[in-house]
Amino acid sequence: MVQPLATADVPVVPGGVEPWPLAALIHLQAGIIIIDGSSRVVFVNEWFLRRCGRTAQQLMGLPLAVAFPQLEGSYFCSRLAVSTRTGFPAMLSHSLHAPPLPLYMPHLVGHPPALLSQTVHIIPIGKQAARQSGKQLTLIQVTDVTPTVRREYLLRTRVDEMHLMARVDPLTGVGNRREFSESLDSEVRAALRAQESLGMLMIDIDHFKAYNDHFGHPVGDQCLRDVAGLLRRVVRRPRDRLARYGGEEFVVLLPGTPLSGVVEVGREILEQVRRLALPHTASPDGEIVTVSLGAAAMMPEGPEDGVALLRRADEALYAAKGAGRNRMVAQSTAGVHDTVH
Amino acid sequence: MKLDALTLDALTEIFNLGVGQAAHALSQIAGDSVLLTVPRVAVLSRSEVTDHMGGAGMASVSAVRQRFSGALNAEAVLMFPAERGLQLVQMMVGGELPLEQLAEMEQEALSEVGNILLNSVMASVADALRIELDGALPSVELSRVHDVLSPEQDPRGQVLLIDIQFEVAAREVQGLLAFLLDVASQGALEQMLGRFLQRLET
Repeated sequence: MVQPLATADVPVVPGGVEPWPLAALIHLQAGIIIIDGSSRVVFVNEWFLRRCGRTAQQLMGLPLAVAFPQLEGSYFCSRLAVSTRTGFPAMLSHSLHAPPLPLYMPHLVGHPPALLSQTVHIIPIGKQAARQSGKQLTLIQVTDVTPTVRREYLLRTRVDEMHLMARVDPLTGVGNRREFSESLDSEVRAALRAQESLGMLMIDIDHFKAYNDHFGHPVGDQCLRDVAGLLRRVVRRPRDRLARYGGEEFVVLLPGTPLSGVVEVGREILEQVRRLALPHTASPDGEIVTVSLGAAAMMPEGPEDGVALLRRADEALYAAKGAGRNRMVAQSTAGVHDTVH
Repeated sequence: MKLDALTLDALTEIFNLGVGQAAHALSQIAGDSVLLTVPRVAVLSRSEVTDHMGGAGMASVSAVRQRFSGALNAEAVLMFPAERGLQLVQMMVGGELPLEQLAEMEQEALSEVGNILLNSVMASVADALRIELDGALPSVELSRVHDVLSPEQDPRGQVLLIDIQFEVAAREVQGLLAFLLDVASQGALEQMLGRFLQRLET
């Protein structure tokens, strides 16, 4: 088991590795380990020892894969072998590899040891220098990229959050108009590809201005939240989309649904809003909050674009309003209106 | 430096051996088969390369640069159209992050991909020509191709230009590998290739 807090002794500085500037390497704020031609450790610095929880005496002279058995057969070892053979430096970046070496964050008393995110550079002494010195040495440098990785993760999470926030209506928690426009485009394309119908419902709360004027905005907001919550319970298939389209207007996209299915969902909404029975004493038409709905569907045999579908659903909604509210009008592709009370 | 068709063919073979080894190493990382092919090798001047790439929509590039020294002094530069370099990394990682997002770690990954490729190709060259080369670590540059190749720096300098095609999980990225050789190394390379062809004949 790793002991991240083990204090390393001053590393043994072995003979035979000059002319490398060893004194500076010992104190370098990055991990340095040097191995000889038979992969035995001939130098290791303090940074490295502190993070692997060993002493220099424990590592010196050991083949690397014996000192760290998890390296046996690893990608790191195969790269090290190639690098030693060709004499060309190599690197293992954090993004493309799991951390190769068992190095842990020091000073985390009471916490499980955290493995460092690592970038590793393998730097062989080079053919010419090896020939001149008669020594086949390779320096391995380990950089702790944990803070960079964490920072990038944090920023990416924030960007994702902002991306999400830009698509949600803050009052009701359902999608906003931007989210709806984007999903409308992609759902129209998907419906054309799959030769499916695409259903749409426009929903408007009746006499909402009078409601707001009478009860005040906080109660009006609560009414919007209640209706949105109800819609969310009714519109629940994974691909269905619900958004707040404007002030008291909501829109629902129902992929793979013909007009008859859209009417079924609309009827359910009409019923459930009545059953919710939110008092609306200021309504000229009755005592409770009601909604009007416009239903339309794009059929595979008569394809249109998202704008045309939206226009037909909107026309149907106006027809429902004009016919006295608290009802749904469904507009078929032939332009025939059908009213559901 | 003038290389005849036979010599260019031999060079293409040497490079193909090198990228074959790189493809093996990259496949291990990607966990998916990475295909690398070298369709052709050409010798051009630096300004010809700069003009050619500007015309081919590669005026801005992601480049990985490595210096090699010894029997040949060369700078090897692997170049991709600016945004395609990071796309290659994403193909390797299998991620779907938007390209405009921060990419410090991706740049590091790109330098690893370049390092693997450049090392393999140069090792193949060194083996074939029986020469000794030393290499340096890679650096990444996101810059105009003119700044990467700086043609005015060495007007007589020639470039060995290699088209290179990456294919990961049915997605493709085209890159260019340029070896910038100083004048002495151009002569040396010609002689080495001559000896290499002689060895092939005997």
